[in-house]
Amino acid sequence: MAGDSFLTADLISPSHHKGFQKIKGGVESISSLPDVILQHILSFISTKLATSLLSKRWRHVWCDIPSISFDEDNDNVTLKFASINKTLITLYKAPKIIKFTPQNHREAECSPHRQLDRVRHVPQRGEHIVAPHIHYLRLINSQLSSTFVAGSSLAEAKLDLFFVSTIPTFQDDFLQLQVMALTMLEKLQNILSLAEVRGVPFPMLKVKYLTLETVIFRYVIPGIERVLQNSPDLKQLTVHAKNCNNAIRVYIYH
Amino acid sequence: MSSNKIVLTSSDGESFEVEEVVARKLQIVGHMLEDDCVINEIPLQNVTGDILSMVIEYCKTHVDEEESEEAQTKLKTWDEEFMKKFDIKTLLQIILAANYLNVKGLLDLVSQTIADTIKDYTPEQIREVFGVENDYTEEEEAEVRKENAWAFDEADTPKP
Repeated sequence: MAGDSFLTADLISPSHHKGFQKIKGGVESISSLPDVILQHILSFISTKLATSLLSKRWRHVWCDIPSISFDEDNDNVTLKFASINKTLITLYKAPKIIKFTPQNHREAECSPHRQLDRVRHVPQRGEHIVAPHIHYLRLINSQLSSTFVAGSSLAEAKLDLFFVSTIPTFQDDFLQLQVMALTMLEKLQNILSLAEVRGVPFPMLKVKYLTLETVIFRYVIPGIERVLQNSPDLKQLTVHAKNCNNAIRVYIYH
Repeated sequence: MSSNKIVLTSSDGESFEVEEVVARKLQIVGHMLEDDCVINEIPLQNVTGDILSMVIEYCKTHVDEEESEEAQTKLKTWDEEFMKKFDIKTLLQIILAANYLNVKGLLDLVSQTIADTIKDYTPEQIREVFGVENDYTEEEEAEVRKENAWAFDEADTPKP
């Protein structure tokens, strides 16, 4: 059905569709396109940052992009993606504070565990990631003992914390992660997901909406209890019991 | 309904008679039709005839998007060939038109095509091909490069 004839068949007046060079009011530069279109184009490129080099306009366009994703499971993995992948690993290798996402984008996703797993890199202790303008954070299967410091713009965080309880340093690891959570939660307004909360001292939370995804066993109850006790501002609690489709939604009114 | 014809008129006065189902692929037209069913001539102020004809060509081809894999593959091949016809300047006009006329599929197709071109180029090449004027000073450019060093290929990144 993709014939060539229909183009002319329905024309009432002749088209000049072959005369590309004589387009009236032609667009001379890609920079003259509106932001919204440029951002749409950028959403198809994994290495968006590279375009910030083009000109001042492009630096700002990239900053407002609605999402950036470093998901290695993405089918559209391009050759260039390898360099991001590599950089993420470099990030986790670096022993000092690193600016992870200095740009003001609204969403960042990374799955450090999987990234690292692929190269069999064991993260070092005491690594820091700084993301002052991040709005949305999702850490998948994070076993890292890194600290993560997010800025005031963080509105939503999803932390899938994964622990193997047989590790003797579990308590230490959790304390480190707690530092990471604590720093973010001071600013957190929206949702926090914790994969498993166990009987470890938990900091005071300023969180208003809390989602817990957990296996309901006796040993997690004290942990959850502590989280709730330490969350005086909590307005809504959602509990997703693992391996179960039922979510129990508990509303808390003050 | 499908036999109903609608005339689309471009900013330079060119008119195209298309079936209503084709015209509805332009969401801007779809909304107008929903607001008032009796319209049969629609002026489109922000698009010239030569560009509109290409948008219509796309919409006609995509008018009944079948689910079957075979049909999808065929459409994909058609899309690729369709994009090959145009130079960059024309693509930029088509993307503007697709945005204005609200043809999601075409907007995505052209975006993907432009993105594919951009990601294979160095910043210098992108500037040249897409007519981007570099308004950074040397210092500013070095600064941006440093900021985002991790996003560039190793070849582009100065070794420390």
